[in-house]
Amino acid sequence: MTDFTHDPAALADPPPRPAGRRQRTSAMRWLVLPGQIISLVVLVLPLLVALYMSFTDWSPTRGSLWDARFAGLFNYEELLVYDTRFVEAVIRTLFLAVTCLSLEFALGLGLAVLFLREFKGKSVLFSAFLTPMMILPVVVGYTFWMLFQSNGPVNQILGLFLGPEAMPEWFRSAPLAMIAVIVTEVWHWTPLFFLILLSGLNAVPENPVRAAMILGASPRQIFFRVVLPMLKPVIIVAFVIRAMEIAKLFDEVFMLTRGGPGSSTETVSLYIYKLAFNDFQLAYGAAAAFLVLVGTLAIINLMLLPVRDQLLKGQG
Amino acid sequence: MTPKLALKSVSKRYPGADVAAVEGLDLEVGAGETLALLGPSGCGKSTTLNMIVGLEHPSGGRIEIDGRDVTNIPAGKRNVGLVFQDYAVFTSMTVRQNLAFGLSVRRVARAEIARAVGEVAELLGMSDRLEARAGDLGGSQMQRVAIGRTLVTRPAILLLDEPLSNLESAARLAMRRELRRLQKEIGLTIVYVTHDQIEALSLADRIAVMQAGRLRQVEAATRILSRPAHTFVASFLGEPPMTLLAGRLSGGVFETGGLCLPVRSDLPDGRLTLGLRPQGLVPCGAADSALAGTVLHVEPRGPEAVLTVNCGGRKVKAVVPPGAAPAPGQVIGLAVPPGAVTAFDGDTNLRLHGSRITLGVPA
Repeated sequence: MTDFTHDPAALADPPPRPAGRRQRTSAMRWLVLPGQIISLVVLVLPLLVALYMSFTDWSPTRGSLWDARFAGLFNYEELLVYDTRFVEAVIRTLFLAVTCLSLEFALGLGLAVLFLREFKGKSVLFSAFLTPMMILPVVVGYTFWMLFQSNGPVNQILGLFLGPEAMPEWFRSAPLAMIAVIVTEVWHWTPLFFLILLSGLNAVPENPVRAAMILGASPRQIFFRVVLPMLKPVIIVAFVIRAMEIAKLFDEVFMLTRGGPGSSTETVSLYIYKLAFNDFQLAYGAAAAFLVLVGTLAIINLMLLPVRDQLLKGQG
Repeated sequence: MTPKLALKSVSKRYPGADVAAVEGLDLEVGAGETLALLGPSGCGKSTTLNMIVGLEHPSGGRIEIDGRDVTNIPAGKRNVGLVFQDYAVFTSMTVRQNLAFGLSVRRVARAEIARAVGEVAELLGMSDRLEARAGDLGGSQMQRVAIGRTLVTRPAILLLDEPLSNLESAARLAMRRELRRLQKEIGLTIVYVTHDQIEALSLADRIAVMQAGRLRQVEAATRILSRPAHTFVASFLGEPPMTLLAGRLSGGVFETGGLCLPVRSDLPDGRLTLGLRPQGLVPCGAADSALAGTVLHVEPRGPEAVLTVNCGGRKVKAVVPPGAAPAPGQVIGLAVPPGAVTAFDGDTNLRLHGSRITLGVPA
């Protein structure tokens, strides 16, 4: 950015203000106004209403929100101290995030590294590998629900190789249902990691790699000590995008297990959905949503911390 | 004595390319010598550099270091260091980690690494910046890191790709002194690759000029300007370079385009190229020299001025003191003392050694 204060010429002779600039600026303000009003009405107001709602005991079956009793921090206390189902859903969602992101990162990185070389059918495979993430989550959930049926393809194949005792009821056991959710999620979203990491790898400058080679580093050392550190911002951005997705994870789990058996695969989103639309506890659900929002904000910003400066200031 | 580095008829041909990037290159660099590989972009100098360091494999010929054939030894095992034009420091590491890299990948003991890094940091005056992140450094400091990172591995030969071109002029001077000092202190064998003749002349003992994949001349930096061995060298070096007049010699007259010059020489008749050194030409009266014409431009350059004179359709350059510069449009003659003219074979473009030639005054 140019700092005019150090330029005596700029101080002595300010550039002439173009005629009609004042009118233009005010016209611009008027033109921006409708957009600002709309965003205020559809974004900020509902958020504030929801925040207010989370401090009441309102339910739609009990009249207007404005007549509802103010409950203070009651909902929050209930959620954090007594609602084990909520706390478990939070922990489960965190567990899903760690497991799925690790697997997706490892698989995506492996595929991306393979795609740095030339091989036959590369462009066809490239399109094929990207396809899963373009499919609607609902369709993916439904498809994997069919795949994991007791007489579905997964069990048929397992039975073929391991015998009929290796054909479990996937959605009747908590750990197996969890595995089904993880497999679905990893299948669905590894392509995103693959795509981001591949573009990152392709953007890695060549000379540091060659310099490391000349200094005697092995290909393995070059990858882990030179290439991966240069990918750090890209990796973190990929993790951030996916972490936000996992925090919102709903459709696939809804299609696969409805959170079951019991609540053993219930994510926070699913639980909040049930609170709001099965139990009509909208105020309680709003409080849960705000807790999740605050937690997500904290986690995402913590994840961005190591590369924040680099991303804000540009490459350096 | 075996040379430190020897290239023996090295050539490089890329698949699908019509012409070789490097063809039949023979070059020897002695221990402790600094050599500049000079040429315009695309002349094959970077390819040569990559072949010496092992990033590219020659299609023919051999590369020897200390008399040992290293042609098939991979990069990183040749004990050759390369400093890239863009430095290619590991920006996410600290200066210390950068300097230690070459040793730590070889699993050298920690204490030994610390000692070597300390020594090199001292040598480069970077001891107080060891914990800085390399990506935060300025250009000349990054270059120091890049040089130091290489020196830590004690290379037999240090290659530098355009070492001064990315620096601003003050840093250039400092780095030039620095490189000279380093070279003296540790007796390194250094090969510079550059397209900038000033860089080559100021840094190197000897200069190897390349053009179109071929080596045109290897000569001491102090002599190459006055003794070009090839018309390309004559046209590439010097500021301004020699004026080359391609023509034909017959019966004591050299004819080039519309210009006829009386010549006294022991050369046989035939095709000939004459090179006129701008610094050697002396303005005189139009009638006093066969080489005469209208002054087209006068380009002042501080302590000197460069004249462009239209001599019978040929533009001849001459360097004069600014006070003595004629005005554009004036008709002047250019006296040619015997030392100012060089004769090249009209067919091979090579300098005709031992020939005597004088451009005579008009009969």
